[in-house]
Amino acid sequence: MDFPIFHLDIFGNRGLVATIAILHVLVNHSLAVGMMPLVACMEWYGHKRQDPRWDKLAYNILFVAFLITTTVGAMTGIGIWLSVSLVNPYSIGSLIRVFFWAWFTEWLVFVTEVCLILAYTLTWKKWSEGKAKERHIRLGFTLGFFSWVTMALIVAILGFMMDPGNWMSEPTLWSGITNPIYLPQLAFRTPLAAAMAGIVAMFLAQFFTRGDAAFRNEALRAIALWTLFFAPFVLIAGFWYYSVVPDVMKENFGVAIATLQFTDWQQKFLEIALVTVVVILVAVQVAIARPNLLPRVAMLAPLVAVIWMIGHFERVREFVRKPYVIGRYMYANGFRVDDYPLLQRDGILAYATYSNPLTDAERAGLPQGLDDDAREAKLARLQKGKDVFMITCSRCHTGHGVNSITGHLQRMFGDQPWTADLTTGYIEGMHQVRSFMPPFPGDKKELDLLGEYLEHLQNNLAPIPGAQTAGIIVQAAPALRAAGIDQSEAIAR
Amino acid sequence: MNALSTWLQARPYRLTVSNALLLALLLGVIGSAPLFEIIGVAAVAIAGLAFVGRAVGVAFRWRGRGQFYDLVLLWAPGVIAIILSLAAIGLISANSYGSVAYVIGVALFGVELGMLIIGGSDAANFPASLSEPV
Repeated sequence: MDFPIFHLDIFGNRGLVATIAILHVLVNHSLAVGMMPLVACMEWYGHKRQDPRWDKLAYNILFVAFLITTTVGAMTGIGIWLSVSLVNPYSIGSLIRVFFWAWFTEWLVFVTEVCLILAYTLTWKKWSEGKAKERHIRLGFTLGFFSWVTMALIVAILGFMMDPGNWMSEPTLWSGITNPIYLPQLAFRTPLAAAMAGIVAMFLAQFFTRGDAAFRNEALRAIALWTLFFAPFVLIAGFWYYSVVPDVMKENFGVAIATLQFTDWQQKFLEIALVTVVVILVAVQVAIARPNLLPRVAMLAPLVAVIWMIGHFERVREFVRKPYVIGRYMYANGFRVDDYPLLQRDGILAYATYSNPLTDAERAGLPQGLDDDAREAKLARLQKGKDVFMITCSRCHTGHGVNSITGHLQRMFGDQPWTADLTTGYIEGMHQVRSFMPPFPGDKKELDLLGEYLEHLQNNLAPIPGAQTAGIIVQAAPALRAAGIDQSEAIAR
Repeated sequence: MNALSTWLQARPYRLTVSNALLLALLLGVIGSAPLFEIIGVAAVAIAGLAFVGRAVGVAFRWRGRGQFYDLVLLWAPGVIAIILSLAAIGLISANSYGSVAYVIGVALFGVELGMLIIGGSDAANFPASLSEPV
């Protein structure tokens, strides 16, 4: 509660982070972690056979990877930092405290990786003969290694967010890194990245080998074999990864893969996932056995399939850890589990440094027939209710947009008036019914204020603006407390 | 009809693959999982034995000359086809008749049995080294 609240009421805060993060993972895995060793292998193979066609193909694929990783990849990498800092500064703050040196190391490795990809791409044509070529190939494999190390470091943090393991009793960097999910997830992502790179390379190879059908077939065969080699490791490590996911999180799979509205859609999703895997395997198989039968457009199918699969995998991974953003340590709303008793005793508003002012549009839709005093009193309660909503709900829910609170209430209670009694009765015990929801963190009075605000939302469809557009009001008492100044002392001054 | 007949005769395996596809379709329509298991596994065993026998023969001829890459190219398509066709039978057995997974299983079985037959035919015609396209 020490930061103004950024909020996107149509797209949703989660949507912002998810879009940037999934795009980053797609670029990182397929065009950096997996692609750099594949390109280096192709360069080595061309050099070994003294076949310039392999060298040209490798360079062309590298150039595409270089362009995308240094633009979309780099921007989304920074974008993740910016978006998570805006959406949930408390969780990223906690993670930085635990993983400071790991992140610092990752930053050094990332800078090295950028330097290496620049060197690898720009020296390709200069270092093309004899010893220089061998040095260039080694440079390619070194780049591949550094790309993998960046992933290996970040995966430690992703695993920690799902299950911190022993860190809860022994809060050190090492115990955080050696969380139970780290190695299985790394073992899964490594061959996955290689296989993804193979699928992307097969797609690109069709464009870069036009006019040479024999080489096209040879290249498709070789890259398909690369993809196929990693496929069983994806499967085996996938089972290992799944086996270490805590059972409580597995209960969230149904909602994670399709949203609450489409829980019944789980079976349909699994069928689509099955088709996706089959499409990829058959495309790879045909590329090995009969590459000449694969039309250029056919490689679009496995490419789209793998993008769809990874997008959903990341979505599920992000969702199943609910109600926590950091397993057993911090709830998705940004409150630490250990702070709940204090907040439920004193209320969250007692510690809220900022208030989120109601806009004119949000003030509309009040009950008819209120005199001025009653209207002002109602607006004051709605202001507090909105603050409770913004602090406790808005990290995941919008008012009227994606994953909206009004959408959920409409589904549960229909068009009947959403009275405070009706909604608060549900919210009070929702964490027992919905395992992915955190308990309400405030006191009883704040729960009633929230209920009154939700009732207001039924009659007011105006978007709820975040601090970035509506501004903030600084609350005197919590702000002084946060600054370490006693309130009576401040008044005396 | 003549065109179809000419097309089928152009490659000896085409007729066998057509039969395999019809077999898969027929078994799929009948909808008996135990029947599919028995006949499906038998078909995979016959086509698999033909593939393995020919691939072993080629590998034997390559003794000392074939590279690892060539060996992988020789074996991979057939081995994948055996694994995927057996997985398809498993899918058919585990799902009810007419479900999406069942239909996917039947289609996959037909395609993979066909690929296995093609793999066996290719193995019989492999050159001394497969580093160059067939």
